[in-house]
Amino acid sequence: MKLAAFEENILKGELGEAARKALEAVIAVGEALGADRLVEIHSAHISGISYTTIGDPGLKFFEKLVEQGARVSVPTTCNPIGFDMSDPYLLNPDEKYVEKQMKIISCLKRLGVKLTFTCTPYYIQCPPKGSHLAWGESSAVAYANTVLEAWTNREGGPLALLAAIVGRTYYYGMHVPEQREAKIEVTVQAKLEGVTSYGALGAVVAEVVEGAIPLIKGVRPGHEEVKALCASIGAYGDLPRVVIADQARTKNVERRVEVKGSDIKNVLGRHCWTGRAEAFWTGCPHASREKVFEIFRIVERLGAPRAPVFVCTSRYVKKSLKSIEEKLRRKNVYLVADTCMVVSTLRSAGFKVVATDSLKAAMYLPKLQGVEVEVIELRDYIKSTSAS
Amino acid sequence: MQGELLVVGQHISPLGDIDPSTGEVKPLGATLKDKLLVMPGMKGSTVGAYTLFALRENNVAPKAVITVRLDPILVAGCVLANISLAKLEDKEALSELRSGYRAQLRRGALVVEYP
Repeated sequence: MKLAAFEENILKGELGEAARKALEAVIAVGEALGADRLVEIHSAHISGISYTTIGDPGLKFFEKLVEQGARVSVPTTCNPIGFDMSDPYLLNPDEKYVEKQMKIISCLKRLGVKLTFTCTPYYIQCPPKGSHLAWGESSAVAYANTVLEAWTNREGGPLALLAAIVGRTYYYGMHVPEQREAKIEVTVQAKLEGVTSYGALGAVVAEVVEGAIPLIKGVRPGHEEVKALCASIGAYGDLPRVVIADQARTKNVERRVEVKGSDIKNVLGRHCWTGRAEAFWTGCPHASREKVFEIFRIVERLGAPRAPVFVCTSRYVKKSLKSIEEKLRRKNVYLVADTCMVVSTLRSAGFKVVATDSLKAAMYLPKLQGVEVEVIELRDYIKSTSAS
Repeated sequence: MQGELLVVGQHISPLGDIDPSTGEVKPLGATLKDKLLVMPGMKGSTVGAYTLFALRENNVAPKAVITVRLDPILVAGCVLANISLAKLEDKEALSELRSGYRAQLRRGALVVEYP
């Protein structure tokens, strides 16, 4: 790999041992993928900071970096943790869990990471179009490449942190204009509406395109819907980006496939709504301010659902909603910040069956929390369970 | 490097599909410890890199990972966990491999002893 003088100096140890080792790892990953140089990054976002998902080995990884005196050199945000800092025991973690999670947080602070605890860093600071990023969190990666036209690979959580330390990542994949182009055309032969349908579309697309960036035709998703689509393609597959456009040029397309309504139904059929759910969990990815207002309007009109609705979001969105938080609570709707159903301790809280509108959460919850999942649109859940 | 193959026919998400403390590949019900793990590729979470790192820390890492599609997450995990990684250029060859076959990884080439 060809290195700039600054990068050579890092390898000589001029910025310390931590930076030298971090750069060596970034180069090793880049060389394995065939990159011939590095690229400066605008920001980093690190995934894998919940004690639920990384456990003691992850904590040890952070502690070692702190010991070596590592510091991030670009703005670096981070993913949700295992609980809401304002109410750590809401989902019944044991004391050891809380202690370990706090140790991870303390390491992140010393590394210079901004304690944002959200999988939607783009709501806090939107990266400029065309900027190079080293982001973890598959849904945020897909959103950045697809919607924001900011450029990032699916960086493994630890590698995003090492890239943040040296301010560089390898020039490969999503950083290379030609590799961002769609290679397969997907025509959707169904009228789709709602986040669950778009989440299911993401699952179908991720499975049929075999890694090729798809050009998706025949859909006009709204903001929440494209966010659901992005979350699914990263969870059910390994895609960092999709292109959504009816009029886009198709000169590089090597293959064409169709998605039918029955394909979408098949995915949704894996998680049928039976009404047994003990709660509805939404906010995977973290809910926007607009989504919370939409939920507020629904419960104002339809009444409170019988079983509670938990809305996972960032501390910033929650803080900005002080005016309606209490009103929501009276309607059996609760805002939960800093964490989400997937990376929290839902199992310890005693949940066995939960409803959600997130296909991404539907994939991970059975595996990570051992709970059964039923998928339903929030509006339909409230309609079918509200007292009025 | 030689060992026994463990073949996973589908893309798996290291986060959720692999138990980091035992090395069990949950969809197969078999452990990848000391095996040459063969799969078409991975999918899912960027946290998967930590799962591979945890396998090493817990002494249940595979000897190598052999995959058709290289995902950056998988590469990062293997680099940090010091697990050998090889790309299977011939996608069709995957269907001929079975768990339990003995094989060697020699300079990035997979040499299989068919029984």
